Amino acid sequence: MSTATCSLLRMSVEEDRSFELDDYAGPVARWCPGCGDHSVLAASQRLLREEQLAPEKTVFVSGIGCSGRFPHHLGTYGFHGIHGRALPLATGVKLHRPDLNVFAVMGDGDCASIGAGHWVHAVRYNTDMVALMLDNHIYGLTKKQTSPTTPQGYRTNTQPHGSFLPSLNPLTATLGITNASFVAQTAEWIPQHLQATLRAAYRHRGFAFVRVLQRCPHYTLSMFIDAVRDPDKIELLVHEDGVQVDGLEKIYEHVRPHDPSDLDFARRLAEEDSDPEHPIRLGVFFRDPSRAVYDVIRRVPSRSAGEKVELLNRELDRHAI
Amino acid sequence: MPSEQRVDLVLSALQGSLEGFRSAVARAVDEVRAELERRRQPAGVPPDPQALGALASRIMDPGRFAGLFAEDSLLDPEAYALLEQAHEALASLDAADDRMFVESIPEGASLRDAVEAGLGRLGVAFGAARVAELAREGRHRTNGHAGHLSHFPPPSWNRAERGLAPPLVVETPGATLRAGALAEFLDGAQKLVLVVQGAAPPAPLVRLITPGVLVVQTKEPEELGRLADFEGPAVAALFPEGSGAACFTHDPSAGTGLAERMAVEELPEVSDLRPVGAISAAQQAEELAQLASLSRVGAAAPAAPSTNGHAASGGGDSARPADRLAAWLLRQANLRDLG
Amino acid sequence: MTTPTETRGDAAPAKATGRPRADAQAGREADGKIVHRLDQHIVEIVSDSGEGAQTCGKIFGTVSARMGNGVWTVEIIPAEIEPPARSPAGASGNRIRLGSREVTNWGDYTNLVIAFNEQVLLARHRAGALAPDATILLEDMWKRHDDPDILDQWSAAMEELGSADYRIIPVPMEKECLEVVDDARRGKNMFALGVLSAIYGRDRELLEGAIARRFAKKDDEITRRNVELLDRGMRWAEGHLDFQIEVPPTSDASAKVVMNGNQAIALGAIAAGLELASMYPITPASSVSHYLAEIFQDYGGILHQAEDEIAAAGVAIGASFSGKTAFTITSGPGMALKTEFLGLAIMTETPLVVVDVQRGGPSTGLPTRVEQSDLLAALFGQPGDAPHVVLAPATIEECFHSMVLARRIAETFRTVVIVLSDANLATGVQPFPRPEPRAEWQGSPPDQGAVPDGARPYEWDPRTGLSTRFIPGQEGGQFTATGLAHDEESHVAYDPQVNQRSSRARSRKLAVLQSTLTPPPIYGEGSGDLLVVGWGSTKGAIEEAVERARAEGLSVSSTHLTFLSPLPPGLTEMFGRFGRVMTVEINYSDEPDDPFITPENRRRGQLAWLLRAQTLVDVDCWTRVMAEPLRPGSIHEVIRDRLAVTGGVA
Ligand SMILES: Cc1ncc(C[n+]2csc(CCOP(=O)(O)OP(=O)(O)O)c2C)c(N)n1
Ligand SMILES: [Mg+2]
Repeated sequence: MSTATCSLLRMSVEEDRSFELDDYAGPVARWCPGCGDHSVLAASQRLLREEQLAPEKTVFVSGIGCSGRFPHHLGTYGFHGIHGRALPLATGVKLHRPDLNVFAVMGDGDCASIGAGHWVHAVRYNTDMVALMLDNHIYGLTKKQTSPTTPQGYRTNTQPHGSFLPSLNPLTATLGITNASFVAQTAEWIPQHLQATLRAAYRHRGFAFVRVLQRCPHYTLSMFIDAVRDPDKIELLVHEDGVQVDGLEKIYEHVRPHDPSDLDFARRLAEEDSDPEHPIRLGVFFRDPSRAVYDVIRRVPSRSAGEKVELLNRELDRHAI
Repeated sequence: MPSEQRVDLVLSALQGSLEGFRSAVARAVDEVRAELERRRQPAGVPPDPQALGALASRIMDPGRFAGLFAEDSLLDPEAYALLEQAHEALASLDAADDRMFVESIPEGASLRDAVEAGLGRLGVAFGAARVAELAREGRHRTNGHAGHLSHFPPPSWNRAERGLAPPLVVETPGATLRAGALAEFLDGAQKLVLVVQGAAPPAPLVRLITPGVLVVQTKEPEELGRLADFEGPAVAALFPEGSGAACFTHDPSAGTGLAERMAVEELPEVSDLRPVGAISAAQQAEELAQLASLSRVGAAAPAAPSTNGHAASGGGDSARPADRLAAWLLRQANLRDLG
Repeated sequence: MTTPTETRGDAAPAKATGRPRADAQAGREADGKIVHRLDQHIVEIVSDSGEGAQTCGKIFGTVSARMGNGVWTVEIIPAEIEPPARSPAGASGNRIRLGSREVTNWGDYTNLVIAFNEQVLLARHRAGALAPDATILLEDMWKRHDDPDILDQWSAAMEELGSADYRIIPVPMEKECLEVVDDARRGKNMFALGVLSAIYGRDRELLEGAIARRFAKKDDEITRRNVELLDRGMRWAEGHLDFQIEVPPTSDASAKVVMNGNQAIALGAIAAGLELASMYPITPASSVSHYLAEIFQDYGGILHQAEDEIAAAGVAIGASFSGKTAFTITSGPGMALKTEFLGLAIMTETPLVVVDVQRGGPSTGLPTRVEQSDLLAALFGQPGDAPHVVLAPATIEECFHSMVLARRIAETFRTVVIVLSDANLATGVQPFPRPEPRAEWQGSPPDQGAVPDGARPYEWDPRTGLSTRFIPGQEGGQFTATGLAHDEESHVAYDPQVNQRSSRARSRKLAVLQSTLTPPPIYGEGSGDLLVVGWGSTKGAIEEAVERARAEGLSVSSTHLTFLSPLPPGLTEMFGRFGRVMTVEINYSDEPDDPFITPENRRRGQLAWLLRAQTLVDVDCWTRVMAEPLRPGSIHEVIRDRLAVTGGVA
């Protein structure tokens, strides 16, 4: 049992508290109107209230990009780090303070380009946290450069004649990594689904990777326009161990029951998601709560200063002459 | 097996919860010690040249270093004294051995009072932490906190503290085993183990069976390990080998239906019951009958959700069938000696 | 009893090292042997890797330390993991300097070698490691070997070695060992230990104890056989050698521990209350993590091997942000990769300790060899204005204590502290006063008290720039740390006033730290003709050189800097009291009289560069990057040269 950071002192003045949405609000967000980040922020705040997470016990870590501003607009603790490196920071927080609720928020360039190495390893560590990849398929903050998830042929400022390569599929990539334990996809313009996915991710014990498809009102509005307007372009993956939203099937008629414990099938479903002709699949692709969780494996006993001094003296004895 | 030895076995079975409480206390000692050190400087005590290590003492002026923070760490003498007392109280709990988790019932005292005394003694950890927190923030009241440092019983604990409740082992003669009176303590993560001596009623804990509470009657000390693993409140009675007591477990984490939660391993005959102390034969028979019906009814009972960590409710009109059943059972029980 | 005669051992390599020749005049007879009484001596044992010379050397070093000698042990590490047998590239072993005082550095040249074959000996000869008059005990089986190639190699080697004035004594190691074991390769090291022990009069009981401890995990038979080999070696030396060497013990009987600098850093980190180390393997820093991996969890610590150097820094910063200061351990190439994260820690004022165990550079450089070339990169390597603290331990003991200080400064000043160790400290083994860990060094668990109403996460004190850190879990303290320019509330701010104000606060902290430092102590007189300034692991060698020069009557002193950022106070004034000031460092600098070099374009030693900029004193330098520590003898010569003393070193 690790109580390394459970402080009696603090506990003693703890009142039974309950939290409202306001408790999770930070300074007003200044993303462009219509930016998908707004709805992810709102959904996150609702999640925090729903789960009644103490704001001071919650840390949102981000990288750099439009998405990197995320923590600034929350009433929790936050660490707005450097480009591509949210995951190592978040890992450090969780390893040292397993008592904190940790969220990592990344852009698509942040996560899958400059931070790709960390992404692979964070999935494998399977540290208990929620990792959101806010995927607008473009470098937003630096003004429309190709990102790994930009569709082939799409014109950007660095590849003005169309992006050269097929886009990287973050779902197949994640599902291919040993020890992956939770992989989901949702879309910012379907708030109920987004909300339910965040909830499932939070309740999962391990590294919950959620790719959130989202519009950039300036640079990638057109990419998502069909999917936003036409529910036929969406297919919901539903399962009691995944995401199920009452009533959503009435709007989105393509519904596919999918048991998220089936990794092979999850990989197949994710692979097909690369096909632009195919409806976009939303839901939990894969979940396995039995995978090794790094911060649990690495849990250490808590030692008082006195105990450490005693142990150190014993260790020094081994070097004594 | 002598009672002494059984108590040791119980303590080792409870190690998990003992350690949780102990490390929180050890940490609090460190925190308060660090606070005392930080606040000491302005009182005119010269800074310790070794405070920054042997290297620093050759190339730095520790006085000037400490002086950087002297002003804002000033604490009034009264607060400082309180902090010291809190440190002392915590340090003595930290230094005590595992026997501090054991309480025995003095002659003529009630089980309830003994539990309250034991928990109030251990609860000083919470009381002292509270005093330290108030003192370092300057929110203490003059002469207002001495009580916290000697006795700080469960009714004063808040939710977070109840979640870290110290386990308590009580050596109790069978004749004082009025278990109903313990319901008020079964909250948060409280673990109570009654080590029963001498003649005892056969199924006294039956009346504590409520949806969120792990209840165990057994003769095997090792069985008690499951208390430490259980997240919510738990109570157990350990009877001597060869006693005529019933053995059963009500484990809320075992499933949603009463059938899954109840496991009755040993159900003695109802005949030849004799009064034990003030506990009448009729009362004992009733408890046994309840246990019997629980084991039978349990098998047919409809599913109920498992809920951990809630206070035992002495009745009420819960909507779930299992809760209703438990409430009924409690109502059937002899409630005269409750509370 | 004859009178013991002193032979000075701390002067120049060639003469004064007390060559143990049968014809040496300085000596006393004991059992028909000449006993050389010396105040220091350097002995090494070299073999193919896998023949156990290192084990032998370690035991010899430990026993010598136990007997009260000053000791400095250096590992001789082969360049490859599995070098071929009998090749100069495979030379492996230990070099032990014994002294009758505390030994603070590796000394000059080896006086006595025991070598398992002529090829590894050749490697040491070619490396210039041996004193010209060294005594060499050499396995003699090779000169009678069946393999004609080996015979050729032997004679070629003898010819090459013949250029020096060595005294080579053949030792029948193989033959002697085969009397005890079937595979002599598995026994020579203990035989050699016996030979050396007889020469230096090591305590038989201590030796046996050390052997028993070394093989404690194996069965008693192995210990017994090794002790038998030891005795055989001792008997052989007593029967066949005409000399003995006596290095009397120091008079200091205080409690000591013995370890290398990386072990000291690991234990220092624990003593400092650090609870999370994250790293990516890199020589010569890795062994810190190897040690921590063994013991850290017992102290509630976590050693995290990250996916790369960048992540290692990130994990440490994340941990520090959320609680107690964490640290990361690396070497030059890793420092380069961590740069952006160091900037983040400095900008967000997140405490962080970074240990850089320097090796030769740039790029992959000389992975196992010592250099002090990361100083300027450590100081200025972060883009943007990124003030932070840099300190350098000078001894193995200081490796331990610098961690205690670094953690404390990082936390107090909310900044990054870089600890510059190097390969010389990392692998050097030396006894030092046993540290007495204290509970208060551990620091407090992260404060989880509510923050006072109205407090802000960067409440910069206008005078000191200091502010109190908020830690997740503290109610009411919620804020978002950011690497973007920010104001007192940590809100992103592009307001020019805010940037000026926050830059000032971050910079001011260094001046405040400097105000708590004292001027560095001077070794020697407080004024004179020449002041030698050093930093890091060269301290022992510099001071020994200064002592030799002063013994000759030269007016030279030295000072050694622990803090490189901020520099300690009083340097300009101190430099003014000397005719000349020069640094001595292990990094590259142009020689003033080299082609194209002018005083304006001359690239100076890194510390010299820094001191010139900070003090406006015309600081000179002498530096070498010879992939090895500096020798006191070489520094002594430089001092004589700078003071224009003519004639060879006496
Ligand atoms: C080391 C480094 N390289 C480049 C940048 C410039 N940069 C900032 S954000 C960004 C890309 C942002 O794209 P994305 O991660 O998709 O986030 P978005 O803005 O779309 O949310 C880049 C290249 C940087 N800040 N740091
Ligand atoms: Mg993007």
